[in-house]
Amino acid sequence: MLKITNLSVSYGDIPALKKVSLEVKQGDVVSVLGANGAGKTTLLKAISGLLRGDSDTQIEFMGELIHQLPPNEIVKRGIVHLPEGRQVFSDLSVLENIEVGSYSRQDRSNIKSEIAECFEMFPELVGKEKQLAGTLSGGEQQMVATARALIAKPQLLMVDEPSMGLAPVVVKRIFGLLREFVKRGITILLVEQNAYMSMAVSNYAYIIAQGEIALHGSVEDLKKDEAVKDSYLGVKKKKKD
Amino acid sequence: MLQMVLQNSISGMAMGLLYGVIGIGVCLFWQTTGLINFAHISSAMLGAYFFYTFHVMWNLPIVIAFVLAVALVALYGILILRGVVYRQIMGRKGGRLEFIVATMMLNIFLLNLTIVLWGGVPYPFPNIFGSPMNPLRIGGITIQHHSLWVLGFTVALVIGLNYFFKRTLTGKALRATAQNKDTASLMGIGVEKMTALSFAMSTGVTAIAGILLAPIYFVSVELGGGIIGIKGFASAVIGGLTNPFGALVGGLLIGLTENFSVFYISSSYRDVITFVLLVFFLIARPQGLFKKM
Ligand SMILES: Nc1ncnc2c1ncn2[C@@H]1O[C@H](COP(=O)(O)OP(=O)(O)OP(=O)(O)O)[C@@H](O)[C@H]1O
Ligand SMILES: [Mg+2]
Repeated sequence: MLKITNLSVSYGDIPALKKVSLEVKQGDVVSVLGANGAGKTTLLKAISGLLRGDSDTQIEFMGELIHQLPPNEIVKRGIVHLPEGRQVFSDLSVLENIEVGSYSRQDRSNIKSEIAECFEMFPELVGKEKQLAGTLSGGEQQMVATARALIAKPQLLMVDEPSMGLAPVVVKRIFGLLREFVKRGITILLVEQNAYMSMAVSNYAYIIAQGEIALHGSVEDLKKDEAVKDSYLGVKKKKKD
Repeated sequence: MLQMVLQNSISGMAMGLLYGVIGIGVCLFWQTTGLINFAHISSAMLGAYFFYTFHVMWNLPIVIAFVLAVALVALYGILILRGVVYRQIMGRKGGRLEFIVATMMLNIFLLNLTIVLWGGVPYPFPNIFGSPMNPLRIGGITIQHHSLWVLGFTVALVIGLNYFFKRTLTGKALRATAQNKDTASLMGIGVEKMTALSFAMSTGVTAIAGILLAPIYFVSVELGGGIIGIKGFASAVIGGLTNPFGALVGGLLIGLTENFSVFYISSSYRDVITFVLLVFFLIARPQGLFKKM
């Protein structure tokens, strides 16, 4: 579905990603793990078109080369990016945020009922339709951002650290929803600090370190890998137990 | 006494609303670019000259002349202001200062171009908004037909803009773009298209103000000169720059204060008032009266 070859991105002279190659197959949940500053957010931004790779970069989505397209064209092809820090439009109401999320849709026939479904999925938002999104709690903002992404009808949903700053209950809920999305046929590319949680929902994982893919493999295999256990799962698991 | 107060309020209101409409244009520009266009007021001048050309020189019907004039200024906003000036400066990674200098130069260029094309002599504006010779008289108060037209246009503009920003998907998308361009583009919003739209709206709205100002200032380069533009800018700053409707309140405040100070103090203070208000607000309430729309 998505095939990245030799993606290199730099901020000025400082390289953030070096010749990253990565593949996401239809129906998969692929995790990208890595320490702070490893380049995970940069990777998602390069896929959604917010950042450009260098001249060797190739990004192919459903058989089409998309690395030259602007972000608004990339969304139309079905790649929806739920950005780090949620990035809701704080001066737009909850409802307006979700409506704006539907902007890329060509088929607008069912939008009203789909927006209603969003509120069914997040009953906490019911009654807050008119509230400015900036005044919501972090968890509620994550819900708005999730609904806003969902209404765009993603084929591939890229989620950047959905658990950031949220209480464990809310995190569980969000991950439960990701599973739900997979059942609906949405492919997911997930960036997370919380390796334990993300390994639990995904079937394939890439580990990035300092802008390079250090390791990748099926989650089954990675879970057996001693190095991975030590540096990515060990600590989290102990905390969890 | 009461009559004097009412009379001054009515005259001040019409002028104030016009400053406010110019201020709305300033806000619409600031919203998406975060910049102040120092050639802003030349859109008012161009609007008045185009309308004069179409209606008086070419004898086109008023409505057609009006629509054509506003559309042409909006087109200038997209093609010249955005297509040439803004593009060039952003393409060279220029900042605010570069944009200010460039638009100041653009303003001077447009003033001179107008003189070359239309001559420097002011044209009298036809009495299409009613003759000043036979105003309405209610009680002891005279109300110019022009003032009512200004009020009518402003109300229509506010309703129209409010509908656009609050009810249409494009309007909501424009507000989203104003808040965060990157995230807006992730929604599928074409940021370039939205910028073009706000340039067109900013210049178009100001052109309307220019046509409505012409009965007061004549069709003259004075419309594109400093002081009216500064009053429009001050209206926007007082209103909060991020809220177009706040600019109207700012404009009303300036228009009314101006009128009363002319009446109670002296007409020589007329233009100073704007600066006094501007400085006062910049010190006391720099964020303006209203919150972001
Ligand atoms: N706008 C920017 N300008 C300069 N350098 C940047 C910029 N954004 C990111 N970087 C640098 O690029 C590198 C990768 O950043 P990135 O945000 O992709 O990391 P990340 O893996 O998402 O980290 P985190 O887990 O903290 O979100 C970091 O060293 C960061 O400092
Ligand atoms: Mg990140």
